[in-house]
Amino acid sequence: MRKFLSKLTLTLPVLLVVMLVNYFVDPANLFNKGKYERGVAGILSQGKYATNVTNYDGRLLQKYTIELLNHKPDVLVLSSSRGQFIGADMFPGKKFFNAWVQSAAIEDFLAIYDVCEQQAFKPKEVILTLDPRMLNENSPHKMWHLVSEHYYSMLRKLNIAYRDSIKPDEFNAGTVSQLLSLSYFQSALKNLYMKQTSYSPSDSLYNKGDTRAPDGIMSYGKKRREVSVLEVRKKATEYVEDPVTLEKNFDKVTFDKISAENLNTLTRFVDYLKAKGVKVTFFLSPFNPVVYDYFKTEPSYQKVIETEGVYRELADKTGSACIGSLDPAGNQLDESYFYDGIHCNEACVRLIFNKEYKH
Amino acid sequence: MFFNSFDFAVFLPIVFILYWFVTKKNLKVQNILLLVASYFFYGWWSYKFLFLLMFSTFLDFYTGIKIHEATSRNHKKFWFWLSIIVNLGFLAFFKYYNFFIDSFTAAVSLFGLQINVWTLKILLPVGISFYTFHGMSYVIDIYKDRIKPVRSFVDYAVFVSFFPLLVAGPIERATHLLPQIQKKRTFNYVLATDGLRQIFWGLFKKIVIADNCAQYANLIFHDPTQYNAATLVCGAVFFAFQIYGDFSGYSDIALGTARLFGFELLRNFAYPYFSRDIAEFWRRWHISLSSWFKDYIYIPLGGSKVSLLKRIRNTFIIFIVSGVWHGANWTFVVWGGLNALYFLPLLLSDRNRSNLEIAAQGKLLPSLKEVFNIAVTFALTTFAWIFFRAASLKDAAIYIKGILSTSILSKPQAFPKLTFAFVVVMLIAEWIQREKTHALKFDEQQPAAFRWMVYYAVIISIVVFGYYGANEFIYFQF
Repeated sequence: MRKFLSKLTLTLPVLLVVMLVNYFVDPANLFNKGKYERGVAGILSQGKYATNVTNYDGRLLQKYTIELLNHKPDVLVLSSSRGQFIGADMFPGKKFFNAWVQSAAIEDFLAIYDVCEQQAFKPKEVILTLDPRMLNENSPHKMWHLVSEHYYSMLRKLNIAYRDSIKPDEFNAGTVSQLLSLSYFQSALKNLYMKQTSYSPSDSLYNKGDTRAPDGIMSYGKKRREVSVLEVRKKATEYVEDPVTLEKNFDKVTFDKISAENLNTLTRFVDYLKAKGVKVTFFLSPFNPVVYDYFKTEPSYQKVIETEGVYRELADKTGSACIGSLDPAGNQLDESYFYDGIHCNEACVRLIFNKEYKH
Repeated sequence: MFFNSFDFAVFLPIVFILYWFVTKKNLKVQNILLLVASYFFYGWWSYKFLFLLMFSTFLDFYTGIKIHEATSRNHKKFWFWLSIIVNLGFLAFFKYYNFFIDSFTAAVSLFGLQINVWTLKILLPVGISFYTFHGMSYVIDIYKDRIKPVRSFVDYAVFVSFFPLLVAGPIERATHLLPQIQKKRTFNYVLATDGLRQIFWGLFKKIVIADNCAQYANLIFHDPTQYNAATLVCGAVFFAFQIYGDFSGYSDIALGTARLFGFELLRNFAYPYFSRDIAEFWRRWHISLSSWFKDYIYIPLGGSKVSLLKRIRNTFIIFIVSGVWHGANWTFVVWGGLNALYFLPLLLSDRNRSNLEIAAQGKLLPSLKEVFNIAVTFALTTFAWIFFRAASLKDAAIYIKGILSTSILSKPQAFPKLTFAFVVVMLIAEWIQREKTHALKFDEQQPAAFRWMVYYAVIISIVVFGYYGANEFIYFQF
C-alpha cells in the first residue's frame, strides 16, 4: 500500500501546476475581486472605450462605472446581456446609460437602480429588458450577491419585507474550488496561449477583443462579431441540446412555475418608477428561431413562452410600453440577427427600437 | 454522481481510505462500507429512486431464498415468476410505459380511430436496466439450480449495487462477483496500479475522445439537412467513436475502480472496432450484455442447436431484444434488427465463429484482407449507429437520404481536426495493446521512464484537451 500511495504522489505535480496556473493566471479574476472592474470603470469614466475586457464581474463594473459617471442619464436601461446592445445612438440628444448585467435577475434591477439613486440619477425614461428566467420560481441565481446591500436598500424603499439577507460572498467555497477546476485551467492556458493582455483604452468600439463603451454597452470581439450563420446555428443547437446550458440560463430544466413573488417585486418596482414620473418601457429580446422553436415544442418550456403574456399584461396594468417579442417571427428575424441561441445582435435591437420605441 | 465529476474525485479517495485503512480487518464491516458508499453514490443522483433500488434488491434476495427453499415445483415457480414479473414490471413502467402507449395510439390512429390515453411524466431511474438484469440473473440462476442463494443481505446488496457497476454495468453474474464479495480481500499492488491506469485510460476515452466527438456529432445530428453527404458521414463516424469512447471509457473506469478495491469485474469491451465481422464485433462490444442475452435468452430458446429457421428466429429475437433494452424507441428496434441482418449471412454460412482471436494476433500489422474486413465491419456498425443516435426513424431516414447524394465526394463543411488526431492516437494505442485488457496495461519490464512518460501524456491530454462541459455518460439513460 505504501508503494502504491507513494507512486500516486507522482501525479500530484499535475494538480499543483493546475492550482498555480489557475491562481496566478486567474482568467476570470476570481481571486482579485474588484480591482479589475475599478480599472475598466476608470477608463470608461474618461469617455474612452475599454477593450480586451474579459472575465469580470459585470455587476461590480456597472456599480463602479455608475459611481464614476460624469453625467446623469435621462434614459436608463436595466437589462441582462440580451439587451446589452441598446446604445446611446438610439436616443439622439439624450443623456443615456445602459446598466445591463449578465444573467440579470429582478434583484439586479433593484440593486443597480439603487446605485443610480445614490448617485442622484433622476432618469426620465427607464427601459427594462425582461427575460423569462426572471420569473422562474425555481431560480437559484444569486449572482447579485456582490451588490446585495443595494438590493435590500431598494426593497426597503419599495416597502417589501424580506427575511434572509445575503451578504457579498467574495471568496467562497465555489471560488476556492475553481483552483482545482480543469475548465478554469483550460481558460487560463488559452489566455496564456493567446497572450491575452489585460484591458486597455481604445478609441473604437470595434476591436479584436470584447469592448465596453462609456454608454454602458458592450461590443463583442471580432471573432464573435463576425460569426457565420452556421456557427450561430451550432451555438443555438448546443444550447438546446445541453441541459446544463439551459439550466444556467433558465435555472431549472423544468421552468414549471411563474414566481408570484418576483412578479410582485417587479410590479412594485415599475409602480415606484411610475410614481416618480418615469416613462417605463419593457423590452422583450427575441430568441434565436432554433431556440424559440424548441421552447414552443418542448412541454417543459411552456412557462418560458407564457412569460411574454405575463409581461405584456403587466405593461398594460402599469401603463408601460412593451416592445419586441420573445418570438423572433414577430419581427421576421432569421438567424442572421443573432450571435448565438439567446443573444440578438445590434441590427436586431436597432430594428426593434426604430420600429416600436416611441421617443 | 458521475465518474467524470469533481464529486467522484472526492468520493473515491475517501471510500478508498476508509476501505483499506479503517475497515479492512473485518469483512462484514468492509462490505457494509461498500454498501453505504454505493447507496450514497446512487442517492447523490436521486435519493427517491434509491428506495426502488433497495426494494428491487430486497425482492430478489428474498425470492432467491424462497425459490431455493420451495418444497414443490409450483411454489418454486410462483416465487420465480413473482420476481421476474415485478422486475420486468418496474422496467416496463419506468422505461416503456409511454412508448407502448404512444405506439398503441399511433397504431389505432392508422385505422382512423382517435383515442385519448394517459401518458405520464416518468423519470427513468438511472441504471434500472443494469441492476434489474443483475437481480434477474441471480434469481434465474437459483431457479435453474446453478447457484445457491446468499444468506447475507449485505453481501447480496453489494453484488447488486457495488458503485463502480451500479449505473452502467458491466452486468455481473452472481457466480463471478458474489464469491469475491464473500471472500476476505487484501490489497493487491499490481491489481490496484493496473486499476488506476485503467481509470486514466477510461477518463481519456470519455473526456478527450467521447466528449469532444460529441460536440461535432451533436451538431450534425441535430439538423442533418444543413450538411452535405461528406459531413454527414463524418458525423456518423464521430458518433461511432463518441459512443465507443463514452461506454468503453465508462467500463474502464468501472473496472479500474473495482480493482482499487480488490475486485475483478467482467470485461465489457475488447477493442470492438478491430473486429473483422459482425459476430466478432458483438463478442467484443458490451460483452456482459451480449453474454447475458446469450445465456438467458438465446440458449433457453435452443441456441444454435435447433433448426436453421429457429436459429434465424433466435438471432433476430436476441438482437431486437437487445435493441429494445437500450431504449423505448423504434430506432433501437431497427438498430437491433439491422445488426441481426448483418449477422445473418455469417449464420447461414456457418462462419459466425471464424474470428475468435484478435485481428493480426502476434503481428504488428494486419493483412490487407484484415484491413478490408475491419473497414467493412466498422462501416456497417457506423451505419447502424445512425439509427441508434437519431431521435426518430424519420430523422434517421433524413440522415441516410442526405448521405446518399452526390455531395459524398465534396469536402466536409466542418471537421474537428484535433479531435480526429486524438481518435487516431487512441486507435494506435489500442491497436498496439490489443492483446491486453486495456491500452495502458504495462508490465514492469517496460522501462519506468517510458511508462511514466505515457501516463503523463495521458493525464496532460485529459487536463488540457478534455471537454469539461456537461456530458453525462450515454449509457446512464439505459
